[in-house]
Amino acid sequence: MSSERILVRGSALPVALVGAILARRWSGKGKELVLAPEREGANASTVIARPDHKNVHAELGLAIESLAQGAEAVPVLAVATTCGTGQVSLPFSPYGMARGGTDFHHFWRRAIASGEQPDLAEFSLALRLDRAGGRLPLSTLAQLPLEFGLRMDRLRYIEVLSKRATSLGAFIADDAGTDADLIVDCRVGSNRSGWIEDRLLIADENDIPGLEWQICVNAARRFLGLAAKLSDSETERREYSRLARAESARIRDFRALLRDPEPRETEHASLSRKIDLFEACGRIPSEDFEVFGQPEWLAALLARGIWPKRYDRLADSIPDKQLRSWLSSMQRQIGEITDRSLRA
Amino acid sequence: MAAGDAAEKINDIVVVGGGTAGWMTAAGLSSMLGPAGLKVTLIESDSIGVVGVGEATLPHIKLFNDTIGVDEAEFMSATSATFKLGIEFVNWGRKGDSYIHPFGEFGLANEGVAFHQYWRKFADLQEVGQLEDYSLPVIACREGRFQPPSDDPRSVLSTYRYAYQFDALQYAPFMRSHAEKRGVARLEGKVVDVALEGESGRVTSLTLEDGRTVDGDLFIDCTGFFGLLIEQQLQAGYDDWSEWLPADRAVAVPCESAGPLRPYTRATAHGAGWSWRIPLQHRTGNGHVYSSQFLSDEEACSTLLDELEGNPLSEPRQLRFVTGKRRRLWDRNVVAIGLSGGFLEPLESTSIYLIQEGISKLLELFPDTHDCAVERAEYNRWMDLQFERIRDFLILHYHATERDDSPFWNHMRTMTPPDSLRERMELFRAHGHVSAYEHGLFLVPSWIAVLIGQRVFPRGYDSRVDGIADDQVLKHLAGLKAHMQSAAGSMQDHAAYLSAMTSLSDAA
Repeated sequence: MSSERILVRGSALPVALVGAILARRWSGKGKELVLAPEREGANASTVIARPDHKNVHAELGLAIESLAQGAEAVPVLAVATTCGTGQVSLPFSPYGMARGGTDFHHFWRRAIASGEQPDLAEFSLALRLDRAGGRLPLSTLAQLPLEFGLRMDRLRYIEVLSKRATSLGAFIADDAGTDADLIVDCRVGSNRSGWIEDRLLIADENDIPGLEWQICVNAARRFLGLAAKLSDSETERREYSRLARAESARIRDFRALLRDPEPRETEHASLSRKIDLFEACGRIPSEDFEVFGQPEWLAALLARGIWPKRYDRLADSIPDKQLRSWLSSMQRQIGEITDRSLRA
Repeated sequence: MAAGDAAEKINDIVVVGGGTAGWMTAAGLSSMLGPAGLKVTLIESDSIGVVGVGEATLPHIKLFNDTIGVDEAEFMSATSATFKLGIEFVNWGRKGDSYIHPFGEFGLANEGVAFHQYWRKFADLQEVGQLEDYSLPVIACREGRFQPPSDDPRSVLSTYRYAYQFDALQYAPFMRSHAEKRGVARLEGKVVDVALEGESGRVTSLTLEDGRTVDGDLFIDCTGFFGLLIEQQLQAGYDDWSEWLPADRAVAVPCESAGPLRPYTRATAHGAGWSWRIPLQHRTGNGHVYSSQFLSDEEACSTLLDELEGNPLSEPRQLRFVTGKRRRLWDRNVVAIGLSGGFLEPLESTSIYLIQEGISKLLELFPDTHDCAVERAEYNRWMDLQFERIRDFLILHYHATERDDSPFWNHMRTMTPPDSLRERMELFRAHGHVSAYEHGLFLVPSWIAVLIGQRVFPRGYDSRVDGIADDQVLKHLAGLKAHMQSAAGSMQDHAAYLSAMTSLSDAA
């Protein structure tokens, strides 16, 4: 075969998403991209795209406004999921405002140490807006310092992506066989990922909102970042699998924190480190290739009852009186922005 | 308060040693934690010389200076500093080779494909030229130009960062003045005794030659290679990396400035090591790093003196070191920052960066009480990662070579590198991809600069390059090269820019 053929097959959404990204960046002379999606279940409902959607969709030439129309996209400021102690909201944006390079939650912790009882969620504009339940117009959201994802109608999003993929040169086939230089198997819901010989496996549990979307995006980017002649890509395959393992470990840690009955007893050093350090001093250490943001880790740690014994010494740099006034003014401002935004 | 009860709050910090590391640490801690009630004391002795580490720096130092409130013009003037856009490596891949590792990217990515992939496809064509023809900071270095980067992200003049080359012997006093203004107390004296608490083994106080006792909660060891507290007292141990980086000596001598004031540092490979040349406003810093297994001290000194561009300004000074790092950079209540924590040869100007990283991480994890095993473990893990990733990058310079003209180079070329580096080189050799990490000093453009600069030429390239017609790519390359050249031409002369800046500062 003089040209190269990639077959992307599996669940409909991953195939459409991975297919569109590959069609945008792996196409042209001598390249053939075939998408073979399985039929999506009739009860398919929504899909969450994490904040990275801005980059992905911009690259695909899909404006948010067109997704709002074509896939019923609405902004999502936080996602709710289950954890060992019930339900937790994971905000995409930081709580409060950092000051002098110190994250806000240290100042909040200091207020608690001085006997006050402020609720951290009260300092999260994302959570306040999310809880208020109003639907923010995109124009309003654009003016706020917030990261946001998108909730979309799954079938319509698949349709938008598939259309984009084909307009970028991909073919959609019901029965594409297995004749390809590389088969990308999209099996989100299973647990094996990596690039082994001519199979690129994109897989993980889809049990945290937005995870399925992000795994597909990361896998497609990882492959593109290592693009080479497919018949001569042994070192790239090893590197892809190394990176995929690192990503899986980050997801595994987050899931274990949320769901394991006793996350403190984890055997994984990277998760132990996060729990221990957060408990010791309120810092959340970051590993290479994190999937979830610091605000999500913070929300998950607190939801599991893991509480910092102390706050960062740098948070002592302002006097008590100034701290109290700063906190109350921030709380008031967040309340006002929430009210205003929901009226807009 | 002495370091007694584990639950007592840590408030008294004692920095031991007053060179670059000591005064940077004192300035950093007092600026950031002084307002939170921390008391910082620094002990130094005029009778103990300083190594004066790191005349050449990396762009990160600007962030440190900005964070602690240093005025750039005042700093440039006080430390006889020049600007730096990269490091030139001469004779590394082969004798006669020269390349610059710039503080910026090469070209512009196109359609998600890294620039060097397009260049690689056509690298054999004469009109395409060298990869560095597509780097603005490299062209500026070669032409002796400098100006601060533009704030406009659309401009090619925004695609680089800069660092400084300064007189380390002037930098420490400059930091001292900054630190003292923020309340750091300086004690003149030599530490002659260290008291440890029996059960915990923590340092509780230091006794000076004149009998004074200095109590503290947390001690920062900035005593250089000697490691007065971290090694002589706590015996934290040392990971010796001379298996991969066998250079163990250096000889240094300043000389009169000669020729144009270059905005870059030069590292020239020799038969058993390499020499540095760092242009400052008032003189040039020079040194020769070498392995004593392969070269005598006399030969090393003679090589250095032979290549000086101006008259020497002092007698050559010898240094001995073992490349590696302290096994525990933070042990009990002692944190080793600077040479007491480890030594990596100054090939990529990493010494001050490692000091800065040590200070930043300590600030992030600053303990409340002595019950801080978790913070300590995280500090050590983080710093180990930093050291190891820099180590691999330095080994690359020696290992990726075609030189076979001396036993030293034969040894370096044929040695077994760490697996992490071997895998990285294999990946790049295949199709020019660079294995990425997020937490480390040297990111993808730096690896590309050294790999290509030292003739690690990828066998193939990103297959997507073929998706664009050849004539279109060549046209793009030609346009970009001309654009870079023209942008560099619009920059100011380095010496003129510097002179204007420092004369304004002096006038103020």
